[in-house]
Amino acid sequence: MAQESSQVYYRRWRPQSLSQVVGQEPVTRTLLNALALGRVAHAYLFCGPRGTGKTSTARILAKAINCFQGGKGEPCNSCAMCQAISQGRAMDLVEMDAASNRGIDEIRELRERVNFVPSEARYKVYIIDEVHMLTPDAFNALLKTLEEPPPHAIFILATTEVHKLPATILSRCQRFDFRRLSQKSVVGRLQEIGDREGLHVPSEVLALIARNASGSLRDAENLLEQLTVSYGPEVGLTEVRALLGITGDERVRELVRYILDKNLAQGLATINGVRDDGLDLRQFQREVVDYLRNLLLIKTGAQGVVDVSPDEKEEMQSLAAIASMKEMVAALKLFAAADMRWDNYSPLPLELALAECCLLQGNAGAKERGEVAAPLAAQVPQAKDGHPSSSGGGGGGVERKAPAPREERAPLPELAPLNSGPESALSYLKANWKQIVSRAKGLSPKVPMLDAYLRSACQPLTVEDKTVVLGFYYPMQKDKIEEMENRRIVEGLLSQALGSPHQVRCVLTQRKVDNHLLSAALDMGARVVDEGDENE
Amino acid sequence: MWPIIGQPRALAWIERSLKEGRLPHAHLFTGPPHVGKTTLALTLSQAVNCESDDPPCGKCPSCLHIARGIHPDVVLLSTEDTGLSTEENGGSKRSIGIKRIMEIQHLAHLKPYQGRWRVFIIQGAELLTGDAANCLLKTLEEPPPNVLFILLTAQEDRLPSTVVSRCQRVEMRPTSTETVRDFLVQGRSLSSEHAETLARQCLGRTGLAVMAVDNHPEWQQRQETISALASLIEANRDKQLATASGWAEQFGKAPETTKDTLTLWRSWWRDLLLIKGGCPPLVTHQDWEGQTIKQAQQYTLGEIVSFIHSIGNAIQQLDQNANPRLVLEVLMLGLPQGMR
Repeated sequence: MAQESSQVYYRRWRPQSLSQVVGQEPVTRTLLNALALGRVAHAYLFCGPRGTGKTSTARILAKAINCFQGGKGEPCNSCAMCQAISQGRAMDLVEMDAASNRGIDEIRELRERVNFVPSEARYKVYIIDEVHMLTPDAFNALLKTLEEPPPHAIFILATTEVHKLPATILSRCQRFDFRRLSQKSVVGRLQEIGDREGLHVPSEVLALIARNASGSLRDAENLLEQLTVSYGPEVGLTEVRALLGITGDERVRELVRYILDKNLAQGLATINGVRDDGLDLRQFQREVVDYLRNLLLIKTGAQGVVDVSPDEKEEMQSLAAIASMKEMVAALKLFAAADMRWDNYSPLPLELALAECCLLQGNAGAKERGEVAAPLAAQVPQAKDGHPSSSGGGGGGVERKAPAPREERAPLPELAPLNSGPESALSYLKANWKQIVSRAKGLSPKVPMLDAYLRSACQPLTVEDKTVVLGFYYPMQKDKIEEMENRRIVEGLLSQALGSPHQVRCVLTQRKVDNHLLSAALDMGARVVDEGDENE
Repeated sequence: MWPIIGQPRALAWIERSLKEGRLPHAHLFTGPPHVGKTTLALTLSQAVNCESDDPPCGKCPSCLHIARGIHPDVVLLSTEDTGLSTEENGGSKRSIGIKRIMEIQHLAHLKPYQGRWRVFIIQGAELLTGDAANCLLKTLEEPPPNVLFILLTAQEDRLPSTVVSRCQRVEMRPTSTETVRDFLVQGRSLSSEHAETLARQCLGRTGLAVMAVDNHPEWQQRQETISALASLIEANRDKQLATASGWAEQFGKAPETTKDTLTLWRSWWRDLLLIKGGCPPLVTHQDWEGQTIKQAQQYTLGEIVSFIHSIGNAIQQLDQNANPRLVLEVLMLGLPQGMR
């Protein structure tokens, strides 16, 4: 029985020197140079996705600066100071969890303590982790200290959500962006850990793990640990596949064949077989989409791109011959759009996609009322209205929206032409705001109502220097739009509307009541003395 | 003995990591409702705190205390009973606020009181507010020694990736129909036909099947809903619209119930799809076979598919705060007319 938990990999194999931080060469090189030249800044900001080494680098930097053996390069990891920091008992390294201590009081306390000189180290290092969770007041209280701290203090801020930091904080720090790790660097690091743990894990297994970790080393280390605990030190491809819920190709091939054959009954049986075996249906969906994509590539003649064995290629070619290009594109779209997020464990979205694929040929469904298990042989390989993907639910005339393929969206409304200059850009945006934002509908997979947010929760305030400033009335919507992918979408939309690349900045504003009576009165020289509470 | 049905992979992993002394400090159990997440979490906390040689024995004082929910070192944070007023909990009943997490962080730094490990089980981890989740991050990554976090969720996507990345993920997928059936036959001595029907109905969620055998009120409720749904398709418009407004009213009081009803109805229509598609043995509601086959004959495949989409849309719109009455009435009006 475990009395004491041995540490998990991501804690045990935390890098202890800058050279061990993988995949972040620009960051580590800059830091090493700064150390060698003795030009360490007093405030750093480390930002980047999870599991890329922010906190680890911050701790290493603290060690390197304070190392008793020099302090001009890598930490020695053997002197008393390095050891104290590694074990988390150094007095002069203060690691603060900003998400739990987020108020102005904690920052005030920190400010008071900053003035004390370090007890044994050269510098007092403050690591403020998850710094994006500080309240606005706390950020502001930090500003002066961050700009001109006492000579013995160094601040390192770390966060995954840099867009939540105020610009005033950003401008006072040296910013380092940590990037997602490439598959190669993840594999390299896992290999190293494996060697030192005495594991025998073949490199294709590591590659598979790395692919599933999407650039986060911590996720990869977790997966490796789970694998080795579950299956012992000898791990093969089958075991990883089982752990990740990957089906292997057979059933994927099977299903794709049924899709193209329009064999609904067999296809349904296959999908339910996958479910019954407890495999991950989302993974299965991904594999089906992948396979269909490869088929499509082969069909178009781009065979060189497809990376499979010659045998498989031959099989794929024979499969590709069954169906027309249009059907294949439609099937690919339907399966890619099947939304498994609401209920991960229900095979229904896949079953629906399959049924719709079978329905595609010439609305066959409309005539076969009354019979069960309709014979579904391929007949007319084309949809009548030229939109293969939209005729899927066509039988009943019921409006259907859920997994609408991109192409199906209504044509863009015609907009009045745009004059140049920021002033006119703003008035243009204001005048056409509704039409412009209506294009956002369904663009974001996570926020299906993106257009509604843009329409009713904000307004364009100014256009300056290729940046559109959006004023939001509530923080919730502002946060949503500020998320990287959503902001990209909005930027894309606005750039398209304005005819040149623009960025988006979000601020909070008061909702202005757009009242023509009020503006007329103001024009005639009236003055606002009291704001009534009559809105909405 | 681990009282879990199915889940061989999750069990094997936990048993091995216990044996090798490599239990991680943070777990995330993901899986649909009623597959045994809470049971496994409680059993794991028994296993680490058990006083006998063969943990979890289920008989020593520690195990008994945990089973009764009175062990001082095992904290089960559940959404149903947060013990806080709405205001204290950050304005919402259906969420876990930062105050609860700070309490946990405080507790985590105290030595275990009775057992060896302090265990924190967070049920419905997807209901952590953004503040609460962020607040937990550092503690979750490097907790004090002898602290075990177990997060349970049915909707992993709604958890921040930063939280997921700090936990060892244990996926609990629905159990296969045969396993549930065999368990019902052997463990609960049901006839194999009855067991088969129940196993199909519970879609691999063992907890549901157990509820059915024990005639749990929740299961009875479910059966009543199904029989109401069965006749709904053939009812006239007045009846359908009346049902819609009844659901809408219910939605005001208990939104989850209405959504469950819709989900159940969708599974009914899925049966129609399966029958129409030529796979009758796979249907969920086997005991209603007569009715479903008859109804499947009334509709075309296209109608069935598009109505299933409509139900999905309705659920989604309800999630997005649309007017419930309007949504549900539109759904009813969209019912395909079939042969009538």
